[in-house]
Amino acid sequence: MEEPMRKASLITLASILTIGLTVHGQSRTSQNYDGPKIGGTITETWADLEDFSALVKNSPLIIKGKVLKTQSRIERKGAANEWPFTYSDIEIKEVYKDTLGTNPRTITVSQIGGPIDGIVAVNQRNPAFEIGDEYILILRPNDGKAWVVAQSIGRFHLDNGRVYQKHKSANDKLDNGWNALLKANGYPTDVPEQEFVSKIESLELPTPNPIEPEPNRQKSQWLK
Amino acid sequence: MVKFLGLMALLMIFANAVPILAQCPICQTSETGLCVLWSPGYGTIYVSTGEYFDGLSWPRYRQAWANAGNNWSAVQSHLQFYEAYPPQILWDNARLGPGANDGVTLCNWTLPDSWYTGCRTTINDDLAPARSDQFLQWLAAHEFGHSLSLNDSNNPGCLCTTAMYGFMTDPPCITGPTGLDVNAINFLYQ
Repeated sequence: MEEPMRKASLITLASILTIGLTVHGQSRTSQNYDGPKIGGTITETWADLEDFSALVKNSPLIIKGKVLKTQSRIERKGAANEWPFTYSDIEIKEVYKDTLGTNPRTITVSQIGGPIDGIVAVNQRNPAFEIGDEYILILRPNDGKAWVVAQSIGRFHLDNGRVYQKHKSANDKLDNGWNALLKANGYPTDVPEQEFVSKIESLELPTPNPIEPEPNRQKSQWLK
Repeated sequence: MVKFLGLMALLMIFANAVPILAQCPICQTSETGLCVLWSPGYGTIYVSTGEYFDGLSWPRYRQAWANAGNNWSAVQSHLQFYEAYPPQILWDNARLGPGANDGVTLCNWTLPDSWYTGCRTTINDDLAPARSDQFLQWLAAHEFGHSLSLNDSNNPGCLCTTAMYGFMTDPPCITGPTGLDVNAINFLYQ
C-alpha cells in the first residue's frame, strides 16, 4: 500500500510543479511585455528570394539614415481591402548607391503594418521603424509612391557600430530558420558597419571588361 | 482514492506536458498563440473574395483560391472550405506597387472599429498578372496556410517540402500542401 501511495504522491507533486511552471512562465511573459497591444500578425511573401548580391544590384537606392518621424494610417479604410501602413521619414546620413540620381536628403519609406490607435499590426519580417533608430536601407521605388524595403529584407539596424538584419533586439529571436536562410543567401548580420559597407561597395563596383574596354563608360554611380 | 488521485495526476501531467513537448516537423512551424483565430476542427471555413477584382483577373485569382481551398480541405476530412459571406478568410487584391510583395496576410486584426477581424489576404495586382497560374495557386495555398495558423518556414532546403516556405520560384516546385503541412495541420487540429 505504501508503494502506490508514494507513487501517487510523486505524481501529484510532479503535476503541481508542471502546472506551476507553466502558469509562472505564462504570467512572466505577459508581465514583461509593456509595449503597445498586438492586434494582428502580418506575413509577406515573394516570387524568388534574392540573395544579398541580387538585392543590392537590383535596388537603385541604398542609404544610411535615421528615422525622424513615423505616421501610421489605414489605407482604403472601410473597404474590404483596407490595410494598415506606416510611413517613415528617414534623414539620410550616407548614400551608398543612387542610380536614379535622386540625391535625396530625406526620403519616405512605407511599410505594411504598424500601430493604429495603440494597437499594432506586427509585420513579422519588416516591423515598423521607430523614431531615432538608424538603419542601412536597401530600397526599391514603388510606382511613384514612397520607397519600400527591398523584399522587406533590405533593412539593417545600426547599433554601436554593428549591423543587424531587421533589428538588434530581434537578432536573437530570428527563428523558423531565418538566420540559416540569411547565411545561405549571403546576408551579413551582426557584423561591423565598415565590413557591411565594404561588402555592398564590392558588389556594386563596375566590373572591368578585359576583352573590349569601354572608353566612355559612365562614371560609377557611387556617390562615396 | 489513491488510484483516483494517481489517475488525475497523470492526466494533469499529460495535459500540461503535451503542448510543451510536441514539436512540429523541421520544415514546418506553427504560430499557435499568435495567429489562431478559430478552430477548423469545427468543420467549416468560410472564404470570400473581395469586391475589387476586375473582370480580366477574376477567373485566374478565383480559380487559384478555389484550388487552394480544395487542397487544404483534402488534408483533413472535417476541414472544409466554403464560399460564403461574411468570410473567415478574405482573399482580395490591391495595388501595392511593383516594388512590394506578391502576397500578404494579416490575421486577427482587432481594431475596435474594424469591420473584419478574421484573416485577410491581399495579392498584389501590380505583380499578379505576370505570374503563372501555378504560382498564384501556390500563393493562395501559402496564404491560406497562414490563415490556418501556420507560420513561414525559412529553413534552407525546405523550399519544395512545404507550402509554407517564405518564398517561391515562378514556376513553383509545388502548388499546394505537402506531407509536412498535413502533419502540421494534424498536429494543430487533431
